[in-house]
Amino acid sequence: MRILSEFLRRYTLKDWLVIAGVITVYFIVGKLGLRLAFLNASVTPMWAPTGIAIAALLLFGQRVWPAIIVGAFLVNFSTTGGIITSLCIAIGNTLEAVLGAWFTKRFIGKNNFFNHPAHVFKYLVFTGMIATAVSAYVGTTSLLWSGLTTWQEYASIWFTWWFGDMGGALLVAPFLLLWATDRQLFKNIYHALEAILAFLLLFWLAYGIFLQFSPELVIKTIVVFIFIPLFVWIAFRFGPRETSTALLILCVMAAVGTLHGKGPFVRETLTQSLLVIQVFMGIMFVGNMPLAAAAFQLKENEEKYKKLISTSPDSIFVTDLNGVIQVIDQQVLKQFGFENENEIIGKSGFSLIATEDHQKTQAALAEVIRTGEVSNVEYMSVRKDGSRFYTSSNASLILNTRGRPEGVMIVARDVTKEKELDKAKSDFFALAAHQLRAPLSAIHWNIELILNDKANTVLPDSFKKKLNDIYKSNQRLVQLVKNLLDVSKIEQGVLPNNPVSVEVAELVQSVINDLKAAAEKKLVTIELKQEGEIGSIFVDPDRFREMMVNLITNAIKFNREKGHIVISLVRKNDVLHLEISDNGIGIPAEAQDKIFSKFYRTQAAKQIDPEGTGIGLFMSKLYVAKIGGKIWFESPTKSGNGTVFYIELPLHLQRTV
Amino acid sequence: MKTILIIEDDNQVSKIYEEALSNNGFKTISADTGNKALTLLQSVKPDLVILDIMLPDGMNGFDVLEQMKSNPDLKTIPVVILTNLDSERKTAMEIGAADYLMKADTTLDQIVSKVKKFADNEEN
Repeated sequence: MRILSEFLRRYTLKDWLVIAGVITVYFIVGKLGLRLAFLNASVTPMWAPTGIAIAALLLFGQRVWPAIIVGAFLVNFSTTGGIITSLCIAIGNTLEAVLGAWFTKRFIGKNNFFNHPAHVFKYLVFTGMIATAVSAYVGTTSLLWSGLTTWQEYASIWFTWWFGDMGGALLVAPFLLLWATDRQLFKNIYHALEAILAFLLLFWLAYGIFLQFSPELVIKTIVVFIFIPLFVWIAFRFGPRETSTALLILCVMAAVGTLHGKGPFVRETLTQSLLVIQVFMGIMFVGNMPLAAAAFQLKENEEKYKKLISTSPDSIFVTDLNGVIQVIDQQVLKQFGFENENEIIGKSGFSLIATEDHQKTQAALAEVIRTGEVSNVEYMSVRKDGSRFYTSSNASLILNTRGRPEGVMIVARDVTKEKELDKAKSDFFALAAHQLRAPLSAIHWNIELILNDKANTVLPDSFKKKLNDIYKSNQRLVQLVKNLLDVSKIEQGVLPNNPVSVEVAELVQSVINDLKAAAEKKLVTIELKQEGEIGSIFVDPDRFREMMVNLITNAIKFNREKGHIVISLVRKNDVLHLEISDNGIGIPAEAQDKIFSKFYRTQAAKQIDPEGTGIGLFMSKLYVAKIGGKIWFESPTKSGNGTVFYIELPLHLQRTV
Repeated sequence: MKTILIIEDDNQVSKIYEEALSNNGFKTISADTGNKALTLLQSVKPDLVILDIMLPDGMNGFDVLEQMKSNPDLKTIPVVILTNLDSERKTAMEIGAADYLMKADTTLDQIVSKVKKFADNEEN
């Protein structure tokens, strides 16, 4: 008793009202359905209550299951009068509904039913076929137990039961679910008129075929194919909700006509006729609901992407593989000063790019097609009125469903503001650094004058030593200012680069010689390995040397006492491979993605060399990238300690810089 | 005694050049603008010119260098550029500078030895 009262307490008044409502509807529709029961008093080939039960559980929650069991019991009890049998059938019906609703929730979700073709198929298999089989099994078996049927009839009753419930699950439940979750009517008057026309046509055809047709006509069955184009129309133009409505209408009209002995589905017995209708409706469901769902999804996606694209601050283009514009978003019109899409679509995308940047952007397009994407391509765009703006674009390749390149999507952003800001920053930087240089030169020269003055013997040694210290600090400051200037120049792309033919091995050896003293101080040995003929490379000797000094100095600074540095040079397939390996402290994991950043220094680096500036690797990376090479590192090395820096430089560097 | 013309707008810097060069046995004259330098060159013919690039009064070091190189009397005088601009080396060498030195990277000793080298060459 306590369990029962606990159970009852979980239901509110509203729940009870819902349950009472569901019982009523279930009972009335069930009684109507059983009027079609000809094979056995409890078995009908049209069992709409299954659909009502599944929809009720999905819309009001699984908790309203008592409504199903009570409704089903009442329907059956009032039909056959057997308490036990009716209870068994009611339990079967409830299990079916609970299972069907659970499957639907599990595989489709609680809302947005049937807006995806996969939903339709999942629903068909799990709810439409598996859940309903449970009811058919429980129901038929209980009829057998209570002696209301025999083993001979078991199979045909089972199938009739199954088909009947399947009809309810496939035709009634989707209709109820879709109308309950989407009550919005038509988007405009034309759409509404079109719907009225389609449904009038449906009524007219269904009336003509199912209620007027004599079953003796030769073409009898074939005529139902006329519904296919009508349903395709409804599926494409109106979606799953209207399609399920049309299916239900068609089913009801076909059943009514057949009961009156009219139409193409009339067979020897009524049960047979109704089963034919069921098969027909099943096929119509499988043929049309996925179509409707797919059409709906297509429209919905299109809306979604349109919205997504129209809110983007960037210009979005889709071009073909030659750069001819196919699709644009609204932002393109705004950004480029056009009024109308037709002014742009069909034109070459290059017509919106400054002539001097055509070569660069052509190359970028070729790269997208080759590699699949490019990012941050910078160029100058041209508006309709001829004015220009800085643009940075990302592009990616669009593949068709067979995986072949079909077009290119370009997302272009106006970066004029960023550029101006960058330039202002850089200008300030350059000016500041420049202004600092003049007094710094004066300081070091003055100290030089004092220290070199042979006649000046009165200056005490302690003064001379301090002056020397000042001189050194000043030199550091000079170097720092030079570095800052270099950074600002390389960022603006104006770093002087005067490439000449340079003997690589010779240059590297001279750098090693220069750094020998520093290495010896730490008892670090440096070994230069060459494989075969290295030859020359076309680079700016100052820049290349600076990079080598940076890398080798790091290898010395961050090496351990008595460490070892190996520099190896290999020329392979017109690429120079340069490796600098040390067995020092290595680069900590958390710093690995930052060490090429401007001014970045690891904790260890700050301790070992508090005077470092953190731009050596940054400059090296920018420089290597500028001349078309690659630089990366490995730390710790495979052998367990230290760091290896790798550089690859193409030997046929462009001679026009 | 060889004469060196110093064209440099920073008074402190030109004083330093003067001191370093006179310590090494050169006679120096100075001009702080390009115009003054060209006027001086009408009456004096130095053995070498030290030239800055960024100069006031609308005439920069390149203009001075170009004028000198287009004047038959002056074009044989070696011109050593001493500047803070590190991006103009190529231009300067093309116009005909004898050398291009960065102020910040150069010691006085290096300046003096360059001057000695080019001033002596000119005599030969």
